[in-house]
Amino acid sequence: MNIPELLQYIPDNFLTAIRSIGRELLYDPKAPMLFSSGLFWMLFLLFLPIYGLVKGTKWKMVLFVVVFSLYFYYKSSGLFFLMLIGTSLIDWGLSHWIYRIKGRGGKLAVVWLSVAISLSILGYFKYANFFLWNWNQMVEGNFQPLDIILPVGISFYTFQSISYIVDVYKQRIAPTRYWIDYLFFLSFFPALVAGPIVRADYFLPQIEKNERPSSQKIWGGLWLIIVGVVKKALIADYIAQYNDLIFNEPSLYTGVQTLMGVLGYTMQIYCDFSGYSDMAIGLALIMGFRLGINFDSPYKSRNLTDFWRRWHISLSSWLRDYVYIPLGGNRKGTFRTYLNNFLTMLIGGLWHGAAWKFIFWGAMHGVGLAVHKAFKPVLQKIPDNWFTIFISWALTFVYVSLLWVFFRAADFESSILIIKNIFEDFQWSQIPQFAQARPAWCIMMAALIVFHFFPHKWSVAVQWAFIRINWVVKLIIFLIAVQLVIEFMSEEVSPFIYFQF
Amino acid sequence: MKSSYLALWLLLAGALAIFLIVGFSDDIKLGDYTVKKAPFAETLFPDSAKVERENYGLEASGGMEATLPEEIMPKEVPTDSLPKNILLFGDSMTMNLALRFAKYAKQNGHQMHAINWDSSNTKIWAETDTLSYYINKLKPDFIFISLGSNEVYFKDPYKRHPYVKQILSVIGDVPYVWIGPPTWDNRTAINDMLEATCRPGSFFRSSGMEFKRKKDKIHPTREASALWVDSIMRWMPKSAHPILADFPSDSLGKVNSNIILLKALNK
Repeated sequence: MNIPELLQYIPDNFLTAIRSIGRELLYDPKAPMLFSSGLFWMLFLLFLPIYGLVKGTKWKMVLFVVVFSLYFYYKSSGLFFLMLIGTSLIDWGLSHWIYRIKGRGGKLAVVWLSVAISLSILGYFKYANFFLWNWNQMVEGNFQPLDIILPVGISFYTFQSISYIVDVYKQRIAPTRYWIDYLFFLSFFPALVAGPIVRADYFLPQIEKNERPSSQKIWGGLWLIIVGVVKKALIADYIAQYNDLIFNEPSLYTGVQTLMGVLGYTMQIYCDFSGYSDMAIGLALIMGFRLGINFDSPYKSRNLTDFWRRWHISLSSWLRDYVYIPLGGNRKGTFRTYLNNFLTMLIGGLWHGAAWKFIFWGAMHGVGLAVHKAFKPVLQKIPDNWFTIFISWALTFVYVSLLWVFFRAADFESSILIIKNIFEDFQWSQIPQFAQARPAWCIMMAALIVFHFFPHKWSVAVQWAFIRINWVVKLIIFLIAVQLVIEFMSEEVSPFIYFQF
Repeated sequence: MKSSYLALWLLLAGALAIFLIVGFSDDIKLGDYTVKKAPFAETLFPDSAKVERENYGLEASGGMEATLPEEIMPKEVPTDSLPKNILLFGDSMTMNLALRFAKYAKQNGHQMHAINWDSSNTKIWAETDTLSYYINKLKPDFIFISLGSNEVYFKDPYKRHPYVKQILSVIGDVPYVWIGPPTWDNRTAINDMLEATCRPGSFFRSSGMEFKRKKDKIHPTREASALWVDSIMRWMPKSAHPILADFPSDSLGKVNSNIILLKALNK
């Protein structure tokens, strides 16, 4: 339909258009609102001028963002936004109670009460069927899964809520004076459904300050959004189309095809998650808030400890501060240090999903961390040269990539089949054939790997260049990025991987 | 609004305006390549997409029975009792179908060839010369097509209509049956489109059938595929060109399936 036809068409079909818009604005469980969706950007276009107007007055800004965030959550999880409001009310009330109680024992009891409530809600929605299934396996009962829908982002905001309560107890922060400030923190839409997991002591002072973002931050934010959109909606969604074939039917493919699928998934999960994080951080930056860095070129890591300092930093630092250190950290001897590491990663695995494959994935990372810690004194004696750097990097990369197989494959059997296929059916001669058959996929992967290994200062320099360039050039870059996404977009947009967690 | 916000808003609004204009304009071509458009028209005016489908001579919702005038509805035709040289081709569903079809072929004196191209779809078959190559080589006089399962999730399967037409034009006058994809979550649009595009009586609608699936919850198991073929062959007398389709006896012995496997690599 061209524009003249459209102009003729609109008056007759005005009500249809209104109905279509209305339908788009309602909750659709099959189409949660993503930052990469057109609907989000249209709403953001409406949001931005009003936000610019109310930003000067804190209470207006807070109220407006809370309303928008709750609508955003409604679009993603339907009526579960009411549960988010309820959770925030309970947390806020309990945080004031903790603050007022004099004795340590009493404070601690309320902290445990709050943590128990948060984990019970998370446990019911996320783990009830898993535990029931396992229980029935043990007693050989007839398992009927409960009809439970997992609210999007519950794992993320539950961890934020726990950090707030613990920080109030530890007197790192005072409870927010107004409930709505806490609801703002918990429901802040850029970080609501997939993180980064924002710490109360880092974020709450920013609400109080209500700083107007500088022009640099606004354009820097837009740059991060463009990078995030390209990573998530262009690269991850495109390479996923091939990776899915391999993981859905592992027995059908050659060793080289399977290996490429595994490498592809290794890069896909990074682009998917870090791309979404970039968009979230960029949006927050435009609004004048900092969420902190969540990924720092994780595949440059030379050991597993380094990997977890660079991968999903907001989760790994949360686990360190609220699980590993309370368990005793490295203060209770060598064995306990390894055990604490292992247990922390086990919980990290379970956080990702209610399935044994996630627990296994977490456990194997725990084992890897313990082994690295055990051999650290020996490793430190090895001279640092290009060869040793390459070997340590390659070992880490291969270990991490192989564990992603268990993370992604449908079950343990499929994971073993995939790994076996790579080692038993690999033929060098298949590589040129593969490159010839899938040139776009190979080019995208190669470009991605090259960009990933760029020095950090180069990406900062590019960001600064974008901030400084002319408005028209910015517009052209934005248009090119979005058009590329449209060109490569699969007909059905892949869901964001970390939504399910 | 602060000036930086204004500049950002203008940039986003300008980009939206450009994508809207492009979305509702005629196709933009760069050489042979057509620039893709953002799907504003389909989202805002779902009926306009319907109008476009009608321009193709299609209507989705009712399927064949609801849209075809009575005079072109399939009428019962006598069974062609000659042995056939059958070609079955399609995506990864084809393999298990072929195993059962081969038994029917042996029972009824037909010759059977099958081409299983993993992960293939209508676009791939339409844009490559694989089909015309095998038709020229094998010279089939009856064709079964098993395609569409890799297009079940497409928001608008009518975009695949040109590819389906292309495949059917390569098949030409050879009698065929298109076996509709065994959809697994109530998505029927692809079946609707195929049904509306195929000649009357040449489409077997598989959506709505119950299948025992493999672990991927998509592919029917080998046993379920056999039952699927049995259903197709039971339906055969009602098709546009019925062929001999007696149920295979247990004493057939070894059956050669003649399956050509094309890896997804060639996509």
